Amino acid sequence: MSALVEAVGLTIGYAGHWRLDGVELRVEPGQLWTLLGPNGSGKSTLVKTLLGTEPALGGQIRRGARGCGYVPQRQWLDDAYPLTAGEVVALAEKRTTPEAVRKALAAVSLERFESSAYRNLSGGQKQRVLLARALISDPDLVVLDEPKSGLDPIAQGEVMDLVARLMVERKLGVLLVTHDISAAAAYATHFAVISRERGFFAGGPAEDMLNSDAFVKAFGRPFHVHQHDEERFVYLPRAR
Amino acid sequence: MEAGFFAPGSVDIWWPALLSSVLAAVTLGYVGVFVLLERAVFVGAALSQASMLGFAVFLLLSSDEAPSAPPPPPAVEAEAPKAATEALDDLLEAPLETPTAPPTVPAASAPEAEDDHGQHWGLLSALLASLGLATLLAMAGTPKRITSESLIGVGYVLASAGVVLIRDFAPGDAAHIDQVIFGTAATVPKIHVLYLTLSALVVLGVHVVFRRPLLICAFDPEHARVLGYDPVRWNVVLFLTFAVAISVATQAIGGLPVFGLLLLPAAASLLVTRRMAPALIVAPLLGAVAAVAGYVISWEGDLPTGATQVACAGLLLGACAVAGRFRP
Repeated sequence: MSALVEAVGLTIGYAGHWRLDGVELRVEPGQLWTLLGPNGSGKSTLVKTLLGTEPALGGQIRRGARGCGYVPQRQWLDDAYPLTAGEVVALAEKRTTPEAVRKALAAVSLERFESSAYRNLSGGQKQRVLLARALISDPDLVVLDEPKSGLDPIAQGEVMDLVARLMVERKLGVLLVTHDISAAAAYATHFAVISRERGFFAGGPAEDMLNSDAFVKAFGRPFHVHQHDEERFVYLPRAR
Repeated sequence: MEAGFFAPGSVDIWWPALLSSVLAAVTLGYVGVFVLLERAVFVGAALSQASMLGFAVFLLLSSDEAPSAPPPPPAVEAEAPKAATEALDDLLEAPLETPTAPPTVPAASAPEAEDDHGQHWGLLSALLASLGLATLLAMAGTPKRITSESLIGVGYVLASAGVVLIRDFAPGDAAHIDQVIFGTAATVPKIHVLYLTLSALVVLGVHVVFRRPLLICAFDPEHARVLGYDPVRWNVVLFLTFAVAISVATQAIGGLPVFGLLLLPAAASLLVTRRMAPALIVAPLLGAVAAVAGYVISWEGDLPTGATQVACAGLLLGACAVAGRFRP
């Protein structure tokens, strides 16, 4: 199967500041990659490099996706602007139609909020509007940067259920950046862990990664994994 | 002779001033919405000061070339339009054989005395100063050690100090500088109608043509980068439109009414609208209403024009605040 995005021997970082070599990643349709790492580990830099907004310091990036939808962290959006949910979605495309906007909002079950002010929506609804915006160009790859931050557990679950459903329905490849390993573990087909401080990157299928020492190498502490009725729970045990 | 607003001789005096105020109010009202949403209120003040500094530098450099400097406004008439008309009336009614004193004729009533060449260079100097500051402020972003507000404050206070120093250094030009600082909305040279029309076309044209990149870079810079837009570059474009609107209007009607017409109609508009497009239509309309009402009231009441226009804009803001509270 062809890769939607592939990093081969990639070096990321900022020239003169820091660099991380040996990043290998291959996202295919129907895969949900969860990118994990401590604060300041280089997650955002890796995503920006894969998206092409930061230059790679070495190696190769192969982009095979026909389109890439991006859901940024909500904290970067300026809520002061009086835009409706429909206008926020329409901003993603140079030329769009009201039908396309409605269709994108319908995909996240928010069609009746098209004329609602974006700033008045709940956190979960805002996240779904941003997902609709990422979907309007009918991409086959979607990148989500901390989509669960600032959401209550119910809204987090709704957003993740929605992402997982869309991934299956549309055969999307998904790259999800998060701090929340516990919630991510339930949905991820693949994990990538990164720590620029420890000069470490590893990625692969979820089962292989959870059974490896990759998390210890990236976070400096072991995670515990529990499997129950096909549900996977990952948590950080108390330090003793 | 009492000169009413609609008296035959009055129209020739007030039309350039009134039209200038309306053109300035429309452009400032539009960009004012972005100024407020960008939380860049003091950018407006700093750009206005930079514009005055540019103009003061021009006056200083051209002070020994008297003809190239714009004609000084009469000390009192500049802010009292009816008094300006009465001065004209006095002049017209004077016996032909009796020599009259030309300096009492308001600048706007004697267009032949205007030196358009000097106006061009004065405006260009003001424009360059504010465009320079706008570019610096937009590119500086948010430095880690001091906030962006601090940078705006630095720009404002240095430009203000520069104006005061030049005013002191070249006392002969003090009247010109005061004219720009406190406003001359009562009597505006006709050439400013042309400048303001061009400024409105350029500013509104840029905002219409580049609506999407300007909006997306301001609303969501991270997503803008992914779409291929450079938020810093578009922020510079946005700030340059602020600079053009503010500096051209400051030269025409003065700093006080410019700041008032930049902020108050935009704030009023955002209180009564819920979407971007209506906010961008209502703000210029409210600005135009304040400009016209303020001008007519100041004429009839012999009040300072710029301050009256700002007061009218303030009343509209109050009305909109009340109306906004009762909106369903």
